[in-house]
This record gives sequence, C-alpha cells and structure tokens, in this order.
Amino acid sequence: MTSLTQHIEALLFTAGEAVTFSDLSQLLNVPEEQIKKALEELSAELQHHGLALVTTNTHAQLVTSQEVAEFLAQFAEEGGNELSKAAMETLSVIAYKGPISRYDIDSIRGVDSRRMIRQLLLRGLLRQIRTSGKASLYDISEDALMHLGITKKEELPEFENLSRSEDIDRLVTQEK
Amino acid sequence: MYLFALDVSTITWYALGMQFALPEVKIEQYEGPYDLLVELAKKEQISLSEINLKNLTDSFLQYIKEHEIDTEIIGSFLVVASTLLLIKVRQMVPSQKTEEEEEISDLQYRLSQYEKFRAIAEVLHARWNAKPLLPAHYFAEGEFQERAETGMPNITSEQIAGALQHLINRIPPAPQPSAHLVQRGRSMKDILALFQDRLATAKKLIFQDTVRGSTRQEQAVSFLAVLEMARKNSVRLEQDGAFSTLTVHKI
Repeated sequence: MTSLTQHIEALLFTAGEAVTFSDLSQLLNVPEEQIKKALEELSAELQHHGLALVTTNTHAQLVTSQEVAEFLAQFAEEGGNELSKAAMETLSVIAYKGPISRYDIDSIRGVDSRRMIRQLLLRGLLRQIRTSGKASLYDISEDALMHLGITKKEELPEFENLSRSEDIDRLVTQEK
Repeated sequence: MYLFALDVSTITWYALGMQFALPEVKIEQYEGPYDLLVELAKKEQISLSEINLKNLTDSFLQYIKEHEIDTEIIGSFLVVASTLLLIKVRQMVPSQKTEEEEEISDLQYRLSQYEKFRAIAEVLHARWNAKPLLPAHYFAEGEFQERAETGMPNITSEQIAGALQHLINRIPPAPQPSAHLVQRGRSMKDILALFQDRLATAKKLIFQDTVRGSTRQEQAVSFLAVLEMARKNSVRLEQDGAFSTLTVHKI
C-alpha cells in the first residue's frame, strides 16, 4: 500500500461520508487521475475486509463490505425506505444509462419522469450534474449503490448488456 | 409515475380537534403508457407484436377513459393511444405509407427496450436493502436491532397537557422590580450589638443559624460583623472548610 492510498483511506475514514475526487485531489495535492488510480488500489487492498470502497464517477466512500452485509443485516432494522415501482424504474434507467438527461430518461420510459427524479434527488439516490448551457445530467449516487449492496455500478446485473446496448443508445439519441 | 385512482368514498378524514385518520388512497400503479401496455399484454398472455398491439387498443383506451390520469403524464398516454389507433386503422384500411410504418415499428421497438428496464427494475427492487452496505456511524446511536418508530408517535392529549404543565412549572417567577424602595437592613453597629448580646448568654454560636431567614444584605453585614469581632479578638472563628458550618466561639 502506497502512502497515497493510506492517506486516502484515512481521509475517507475520518470523513465518514462520501468525498469527491476533486476534494481528495485538493487535500492531497495530487491530480485526480492519480486519485482514481489510488482508489482502485485501495479497493483491491480492501478485498476480504469488513470495509469496502464505494465509488461513483465523482465520489468515494468507505462502507461495510458485501462479505459482512448479511452478518450486519441482523442488527439493522428491516424494511422501510422502500422505493415505489416507478421510482425504481427511473433509478434503474439512470443507474445503467447515467449520466443521462431527463429527456433521455423520458424517452426510455415513455413518460414524463420529472416527479420521480425530484423524489430520487430528495432521497439522495441521484446526483445531479449541472453544466452551464446544457441540460442537467443524472447519475446514481453512492447511497443508492449501498442500498443495492454493490460498490460500483459495474456490479449491477447485466450491466454490460444494458448500459452499452446500442439499441438503447439509438433510442436515446434519435430524438436529440 | 403513479396514476392515482382516488376513490373519494373511501376517504375518512376527521379534522376534529387534534384527531384525524389518514386518508385511505387506492392506488393503481401504471408508470406510463408503456407500463400499461406491458401489463395488458401480460394479462392477455400475449407478446407485444403489431397484431397483438391492435388487440390491446381497446383495453388501453378503456383504461384512459376510466381513470383520471395525472395531467403531468396524460400526454404520453395519448401519443401511444394515437399510434395504437393507427395500427387498428391500418389493418382495416391497408395502406403503404412508410411514415406510419415507422411510427408503429418505433413504438414496438421502444416497448421492447422499455421491457428490459422494467424487468431489471424488478430485480433491483428485490435487491433493494436486502444486503445493504452500511456507512460509518450507522449504529452510532445504539440502533442495534432497535426498530425506529414509524408513523405517528403514540401520544395522548393527556400526555401533551402534562408536558405543557411541566413546562409551565419550569417558567421562572417574574423578576422583582429592581428599582423600588427597600427597607433598610440593620446596620453593622446594630448587628455587632446583637452578636454581643447573644454571646453574653452563649459560649458559641453557629453563624449560619443566626442569619437564617435574613436578607442577603443582612447576611453579608453579619458576616462582616463576625470578621470584625474576630479582628478585635473578641471571638474565635472555626470552620472546617469552605461553606461548611462556621462556629463563633466567645473568648
């Protein structure tokens, strides 16, 4: 383990919540590319540990690992925090196709998704990426990944199939 | 997106005082026209081919007619309805228009793509919170195996009244006006005389007993008087520690 990965691990532990790559980059005075690399290294180091690293395109967070999830579930309260069918459908589209605009989400679901997006944002399950002059893009948050018991979206079932599907890309780009 | 089929007769709402029952809402969940079509096809146990879509047109239109669809999403239902009608018309009056052809195949294509996400959403729904990864401090407040209270806490109006009474009791009394005439306390001379009188009959006095019930000012003056007597060697003071019993011995 390099000192950079150690320092990232320590920062993430003390933060206790998700930290952006750019914050890590600033705190450690290291370019973001190197941060991402070190995060991958840390993630590999943590294999078979009780802790794991959850990462999205922008954030990293130290959480309990999949291996202890079942063990911990006995202490955690069950149920609650359920998502409606519509919300889950919207979240699924975003999880596989994100970062994605509302327009494209609507296009796949065939229906206006504004209210669902608002709901998911309020529950911290989405991240909104704003770029001036462009429509906001939405992506799944680390919180949502944690609820699903995975550390990155590539672990979603059939991720390759659904995220890279040219069929779906045809669908979302033809109306742009 | 929900379509709320709200049955007003099932709503019970007693806004009487603080008691009310939450309304019962009957919800039929169709997230959108695609969802409705997929569901209709499921019920009929058919695939979503063009021929089958035609057969679903009636039930689709019936659904729109019978349910109050949210204005935010009604448009998307109408778009699909028009395409379904187009399919129906085309089968009755065959035409070769490629534009229509495109519209119909586009709907079929969209439905097939939508079905993939609809299916995966069900998979994710089953995984949701099944084996969650937990953040730091998840159990920080001793939440191990303790279920959080959900919904309205079980509070009676008596408890609220009791809490209010408790709060009222804790309100400090109104301050005494600071600018008014107070009776002037006894002077140092008076108090010195008083102590000397008492010590004429007793060998020792407990200071705290002599000032019990007097005003703060008088207590202070008495204390000064005792110190004064000690300075003049007419008494000896004895105290074990700060704020403990102060005994005044006659010498």
